[in-house]
Amino acid sequence: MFQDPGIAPAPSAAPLAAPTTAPATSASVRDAGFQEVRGGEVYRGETLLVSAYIAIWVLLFAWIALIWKKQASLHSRLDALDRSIDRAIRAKTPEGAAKE
Amino acid sequence: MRGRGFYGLLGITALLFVVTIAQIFFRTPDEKTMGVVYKIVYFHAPGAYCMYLGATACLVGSVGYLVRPKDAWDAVARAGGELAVAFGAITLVTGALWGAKSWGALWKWEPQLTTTLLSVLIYVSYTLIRGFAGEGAGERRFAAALGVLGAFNLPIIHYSVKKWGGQHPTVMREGGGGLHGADMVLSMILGFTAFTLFTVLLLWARVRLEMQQARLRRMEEDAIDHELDDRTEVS
Repeated sequence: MFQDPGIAPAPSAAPLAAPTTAPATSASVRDAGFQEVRGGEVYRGETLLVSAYIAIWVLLFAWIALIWKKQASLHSRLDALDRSIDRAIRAKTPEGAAKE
Repeated sequence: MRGRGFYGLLGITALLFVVTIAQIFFRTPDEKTMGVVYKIVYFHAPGAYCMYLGATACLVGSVGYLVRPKDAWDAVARAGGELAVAFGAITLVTGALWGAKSWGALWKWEPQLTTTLLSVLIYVSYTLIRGFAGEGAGERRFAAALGVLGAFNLPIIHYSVKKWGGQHPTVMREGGGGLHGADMVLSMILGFTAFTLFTVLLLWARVRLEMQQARLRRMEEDAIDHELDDRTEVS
């Protein structure tokens, strides 16, 4: 908040007497219980940035994995075709037909 | 020769990504109001642009297939549709994380977000049709028509902020500007270049795979026709 230095209040006088009870330390307050803070930062910038970068690479790698899966299916179809052609060739040769 | 071109482009793209990430994280300062979260934009905006590239490839391939039904056109359309889904998902997720900081919510039903979601859903349905409807000529034509129709939403996404308002930032639109810093501009240029090259690579690899699948399908059909294969039809 903006404050004009020209009308700043004068520093308060020093207390005349010491307080009768010692102020509670942050450690003792923390030990006694937890208090929520309203209006604080819900989403931390660093967390959001890292999450975004993780999301980008996870999505791209998922797509690459999908391409890999398609490639694997292509491979097995090629193998099946290869076996079929081999079988047909063997069946058409006299030696192969005898074995069949 | 073609393989050499692909690996050359792969090397350049990988190097460019290293330079881009170093520039974004080590040289570019945070933004005044958004802080470090602002750096999401260097991948969010190029991601959205790549979704447009994928969708455009899908449109070109679909129109090409409708005019001349060739495997190559179909492969381009299919690869483009999948790219549009992948980069559309990246755009939506990174945009939601940006919105969490900027708007305090992961999602808002504002014009640009809603039209982008609609576009991604159109390309998801296109991909599902291609995956499950079979490889017949009729199915391909139907998918190609959807690929053409899906592209009509792209200009609507871009101009929705202008037409209907909304909260989406309009930085870098219509005449540029909005990036007040030389490092910010350089990071954005690098981000766009790296993502564009990466999209070209992915499209190239995916089209090649699709063409191989089409070629194998024809060989299987030939094998069945010449009774070299026991099957009665290609699965």
